[in-house]
Amino acid sequence: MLIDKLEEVLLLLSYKDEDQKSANDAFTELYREYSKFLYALVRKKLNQMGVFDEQIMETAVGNTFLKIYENPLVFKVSENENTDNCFKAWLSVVSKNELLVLFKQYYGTNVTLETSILETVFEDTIIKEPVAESINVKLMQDAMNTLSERDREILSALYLYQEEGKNTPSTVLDTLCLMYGTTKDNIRQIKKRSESKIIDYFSKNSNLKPIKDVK
Amino acid sequence: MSNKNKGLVELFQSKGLLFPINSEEVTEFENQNNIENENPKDWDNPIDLILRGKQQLQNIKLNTNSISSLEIQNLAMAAREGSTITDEVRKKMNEDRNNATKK
Repeated sequence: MLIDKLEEVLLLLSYKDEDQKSANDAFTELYREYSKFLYALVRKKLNQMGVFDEQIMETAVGNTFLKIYENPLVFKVSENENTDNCFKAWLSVVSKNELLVLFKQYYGTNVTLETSILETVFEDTIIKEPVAESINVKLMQDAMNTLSERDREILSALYLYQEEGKNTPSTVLDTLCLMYGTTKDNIRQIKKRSESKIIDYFSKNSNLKPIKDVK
Repeated sequence: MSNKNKGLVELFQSKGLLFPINSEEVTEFENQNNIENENPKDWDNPIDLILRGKQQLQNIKLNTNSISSLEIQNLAMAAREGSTITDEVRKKMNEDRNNATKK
């Protein structure tokens, strides 16, 4: 969808109290334009976590669209954008947050991030730039495929929650323990073991040697 | 740590393997995945979604064989149609378990 058209659709949605029909038409257009993208995205991420449940995907995507419907002007188009990819990226972040909220509600670990204890054990593993630049998507996917199915799923779930530059809240760990029927220590071990395997795979299969560069 | 270093999560993020957070990562994702095969639930009438309102999860089906002891207990209780295990049945279960362990 063109950026101008997108802005018009969002504006029509914002006037739903004055013109319900136009808002409904705008919502229908928005849903048909972006629902396939969101379904593919949320499905893929859930599958990586070992979750194959249509209901979860439909609920997360549905709640994402409702969020736009309720507050369409939250999204702002930046001046330099020529495509609607910025809107898709925004939808992606909203759907991710909706997914996390759903999991927290389901597992009853709905504690605000501000009051939770941060798990420093989940700091990101660091790789130096030249090595990172030498790694492509296929190599990363191949490295993930060296892990057992369960370890891959737990690591993917952990990465879903992990934000750049931030540690992981302990409530996340509680949720993952309930999801996968395991313990915090086991999840820590899985992360450590899996990332070690991934780094080792990079060292053997990329042109550069990352082992000495990893802390 | 140099500012040019990358975290493993950041690396996964930049290659479109996590939820995209910018236009470039959206492009990466769309290049790697065919979204046209999807069949969204409310395609024919998206307004149904508004009428249903916000939903919560009723259950979660994981691919793994892992299942929490709480879920096992809940499933077992459901199989007993909500009733608890009587002392007599529990005693018999413990006896059976002990016998099985001795073999």
